[in-house]
Amino acid sequence: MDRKVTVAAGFLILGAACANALLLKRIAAPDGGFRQVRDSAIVADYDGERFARLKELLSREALPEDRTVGYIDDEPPGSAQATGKYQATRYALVPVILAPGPDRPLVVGNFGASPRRARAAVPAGLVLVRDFGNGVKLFRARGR
Amino acid sequence: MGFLLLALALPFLAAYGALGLLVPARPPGRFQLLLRGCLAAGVGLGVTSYGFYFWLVFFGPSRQAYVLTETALLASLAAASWWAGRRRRPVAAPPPGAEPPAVVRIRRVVRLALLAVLALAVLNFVFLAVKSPYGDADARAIWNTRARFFFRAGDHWADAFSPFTDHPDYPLLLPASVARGWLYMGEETNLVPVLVGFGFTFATVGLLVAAVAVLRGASQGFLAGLALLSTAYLIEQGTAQYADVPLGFFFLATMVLLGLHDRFPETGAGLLTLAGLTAGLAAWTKNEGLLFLAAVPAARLACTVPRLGWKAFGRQMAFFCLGLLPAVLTLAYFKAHHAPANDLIAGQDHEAVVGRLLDVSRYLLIGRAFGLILLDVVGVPFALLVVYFFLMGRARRQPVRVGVLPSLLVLVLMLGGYFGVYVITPKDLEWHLGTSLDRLLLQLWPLALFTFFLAAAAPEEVLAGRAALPARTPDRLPQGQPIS
Repeated sequence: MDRKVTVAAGFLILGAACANALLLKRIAAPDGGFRQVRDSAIVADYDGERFARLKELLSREALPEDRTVGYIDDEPPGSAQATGKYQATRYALVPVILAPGPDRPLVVGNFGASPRRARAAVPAGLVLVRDFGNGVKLFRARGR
Repeated sequence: MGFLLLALALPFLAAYGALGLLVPARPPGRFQLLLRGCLAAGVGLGVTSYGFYFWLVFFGPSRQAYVLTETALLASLAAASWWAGRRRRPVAAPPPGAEPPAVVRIRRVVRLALLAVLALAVLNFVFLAVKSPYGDADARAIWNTRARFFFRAGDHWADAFSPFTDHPDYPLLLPASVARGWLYMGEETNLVPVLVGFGFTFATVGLLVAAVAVLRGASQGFLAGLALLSTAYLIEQGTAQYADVPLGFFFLATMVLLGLHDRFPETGAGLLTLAGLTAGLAAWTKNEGLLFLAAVPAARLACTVPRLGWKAFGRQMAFFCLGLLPAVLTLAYFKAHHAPANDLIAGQDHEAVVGRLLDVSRYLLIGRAFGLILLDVVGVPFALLVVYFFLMGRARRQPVRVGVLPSLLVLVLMLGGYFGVYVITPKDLEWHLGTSLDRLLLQLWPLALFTFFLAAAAPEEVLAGRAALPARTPDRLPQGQPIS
């Protein structure tokens, strides 16, 4: 074979093989730096057990006409954690529409392990309807 | 599971049959079949997503009626295409010319290498998909959330466009395809978006290999596939369940079809209409596809008018627009009835736009980000291509280079368009670049590789002393022959 062609093709073959071998190595590592792998367990929890009882209740409960409920959590507002948590909760609760903030007749709370932070995140106008455990709570706006 | 197979196989078979009728004039061969198969995979899913959307609009989400109606329609189309195809006279391929042993050897080696790397890439895809079955953040924030509304919300399926969802103006090819799969199965499973991602990722590889092989010879096609597979980010994005890989597929498909038309003008207008269809599917996949719809005619104008005149350009565009029609109608309905204004447009005011346009620091920041992210996303294959071009040189024969300029122009226009959008974006520029530019560059990468491997000399060409084209891709073909 012409040496130039051999070298040129060899470079491409070697490059493709190395790129895929390195990718395989990364994938085999615990998270390999992949955000989607890191998030996967959390989303699986949200999509399964965590919100199962809340979803069941919301499917029976008379939702507001616009099928929208409010949402609060205990993450710093505007942080990446807050955005991620809100998006994963919203994804789990479809077909209910989840609007950020407490200004709705029904409000879903999604809190972490710290009861103090959770208490601080709940505005005064909300009354607890049910605590589903694992930091998942449903509130109703006082007087509605 | 049987219903899922039906959901995927029927659009493929119907599209495969219909493509054979629409696209005449290539003798049968492995690469023509691969090309048609890969196109059918994307076109089949894309066209059924139009149907799914209009079914929701006019009939609501009724599983049984939808599955029965669509199955009957697609099965009829597949059967009719098969029947019509049988009536065509089979055409013998031109006898392969005598090839130097070195050409045969290199082809054998690169084919083997491609198959080995492809197997590794498939393995990577499967492992990563198993470890992240929900895809990446935007899959849950945008694409699959919308699919869930279509599947779960019953008569309130249009809640998918609530202002409390992200980017409710984004078009629906991907979420409609996923929801359609769930509707067939009667249940929600992560397998559907994973399979859609798998299909588009590897159909892109197959399409690139086949198109370059048809236009430039088998070895060059295999090498193009290797270059694309050396882009690890393609596999990552394929498993992310985003719309960027499908969009890249439709960009590539459009320019491949136009390239084939230019190279084999005797094939008639079917390729142009099909190119319009795939360009329309790009616009139905993501809003960047709308920019593509402007870039393609502009590039065709610049390339066709000086060569063939205005009349030929007008005729070509007429057939292209015919293929575009389903997308125009669907998008017009979608934008009028469901999609709110795009956040990049709605968030603009005249003075702020002028201020951003005059801010030189934005141009510098964007230019730097383009360079850095290009290196990050395609640095390895880019370096390999530089070495390849240095060693092999450029294609020498005029017919080979015909497809290069339009594709190159489209790439330049698209990159310019993306650059311009970043200049005027009302969002925080660094955040916007950091969260999207890598995906935008990936959308264009298969097309960039197609262009590169058309422009670079092929092994067959170099080994034959640049004297002749590869024996299996003759310059001139008999007229009026079916693609396979």
